[in-house]
Amino acid sequence: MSFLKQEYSMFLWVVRAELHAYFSWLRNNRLFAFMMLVWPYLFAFFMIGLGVLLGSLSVYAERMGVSNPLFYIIVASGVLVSSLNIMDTIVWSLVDYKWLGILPYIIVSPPGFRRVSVYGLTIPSIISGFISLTSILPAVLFLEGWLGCFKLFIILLIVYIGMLPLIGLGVFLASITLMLKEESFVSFLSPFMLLVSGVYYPLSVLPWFLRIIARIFPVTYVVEAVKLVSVLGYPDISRLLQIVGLLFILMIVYNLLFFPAVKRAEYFVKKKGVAV
Amino acid sequence: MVSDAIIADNLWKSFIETRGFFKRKKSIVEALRGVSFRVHRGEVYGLLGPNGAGKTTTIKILSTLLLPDKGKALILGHDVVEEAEKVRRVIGVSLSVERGFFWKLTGYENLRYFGLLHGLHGDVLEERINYLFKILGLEELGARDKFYEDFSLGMKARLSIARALLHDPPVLILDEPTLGLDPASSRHIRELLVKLSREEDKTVLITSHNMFEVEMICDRVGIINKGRIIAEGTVQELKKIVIGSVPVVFVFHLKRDKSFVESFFSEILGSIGFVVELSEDYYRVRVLVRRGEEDVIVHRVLEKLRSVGGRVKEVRIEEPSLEDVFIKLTSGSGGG
Repeated sequence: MSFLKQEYSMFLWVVRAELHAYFSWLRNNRLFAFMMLVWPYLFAFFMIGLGVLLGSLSVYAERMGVSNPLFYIIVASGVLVSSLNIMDTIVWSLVDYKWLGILPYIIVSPPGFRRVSVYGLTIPSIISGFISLTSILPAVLFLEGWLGCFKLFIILLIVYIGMLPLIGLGVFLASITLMLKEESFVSFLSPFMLLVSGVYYPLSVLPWFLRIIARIFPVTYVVEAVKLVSVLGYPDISRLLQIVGLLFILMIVYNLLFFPAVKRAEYFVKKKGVAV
Repeated sequence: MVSDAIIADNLWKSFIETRGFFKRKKSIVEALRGVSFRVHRGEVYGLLGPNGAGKTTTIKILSTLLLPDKGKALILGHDVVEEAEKVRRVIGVSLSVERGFFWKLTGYENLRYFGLLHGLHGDVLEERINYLFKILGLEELGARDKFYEDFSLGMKARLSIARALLHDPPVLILDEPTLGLDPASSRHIRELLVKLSREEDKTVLITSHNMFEVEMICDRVGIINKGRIIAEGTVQELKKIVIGSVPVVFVFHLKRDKSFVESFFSEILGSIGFVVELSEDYYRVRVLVRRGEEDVIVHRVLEKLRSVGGRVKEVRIEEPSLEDVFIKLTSGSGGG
């Protein structure tokens, strides 16, 4: 019981600290905060422009199997940007802490490295994901009315469920970056996620090995759920539940993977002294 | 009640350095080779040593940031490896005065972050931050609302010490807390450390290159060289090591770089210890000579200096200081 109480206290300490740092940072970087709101629209306009160049929106709707292509592209862009934000926040935060020289002070704080990695980085990623996705609310309201808003709420929930395995994956990758001298290798992650998520094209156009990799990326399932929700009227609930189930399985697998990885990273950092 | 706040017992640490891309060459660097010392409660202890002597490695081990290969270290009775969480609650750490904060956050926002991470919040945290801003002179420097990226080095150092003091720990571990600071900031920090030790009974462990600083504020000093503590005691006790020696200081102008001056003096003095400093246009070389031999050495150095175009400004004989102890004990390791 005292263990749980202590863990809960530490959780609160870390969450308070990270919330404070994140909101202070956003307040001091207003232009960036504004760009977070605009980012999904930029993605959407880029895809619409490219799509119109190669065909019409109706052809796109037919190929992707969605009823309202504009709605889908905007929501999918929101989902993609929020997923990328989540991954970026988790992976780059630890690297940033290392570069800024903050990591040693996190290690010597009572919550320590592991708690800050897990609890701490989840909070800003939830907020950044939320900001990116809710920024498309005006467009969704315009295109699909209140039903669209309700669908967006469902999608937000799915993104959060999809985020659970992403946290494991992100912390796993962040732990690896701490063990390497060339941390910037994680830059590949965003374009790779864009490639295998199947946001803007059907997964069937990918070569077989990328299709297999796509199946172990949580974002792929979130995108599939978005497609289901983007149909006119009510989506296929049983398939939606299947996707949620798959995301939970991925969550268990990734999180089982990442706990030893974080522990190993902490040991490595303390053995080699790379953090300071 | 534990009388020693910090115990380092036979600490060993080595690092593997790898070089090359295709052919990886590995070499082992022994940073610590059996470091042992004790810091009493409420005392200011200085760890003095040349670059690469093992000061920072020792500090990192004591701060739970690095695992020793061998040996044991205790902070207020808690083992730094086995009971790292307990140790972290009783220590305040400052490792580098130049970094370690969010650049786009203000001084206040940065301190608040670390305060929250230590479980402080509400009025307690506000009062603590206000108190620290006041005693460290950060308020009058405008650090509260200024972004960290706009801080001067002196402000950064003060903020780093403020962070170490946030949770009011009984033990402070500070790695070169006045490195690169202007005289006013250095003096402010020195006075504060002494005050914390005398009035709040805090144990302070600092590392430094600055002999003057160590002599001014430390109750006891450990001299570390090549991963070993080679002498330990109060400043007065350590000075006994150089009884029978006379420090001679040469101040001169020479249009050559520092490494030339170092090898030049090595050639003239042989095994006699010395230290070279460059200040503005003048070199200041302090040589530790055996009593009775000072005239011969002064004559020899002046003659050689003239032959390479040196313009001698001053030659004086001084009272032995901690610097001379350091020179004597570390001579042959680069002088410092």
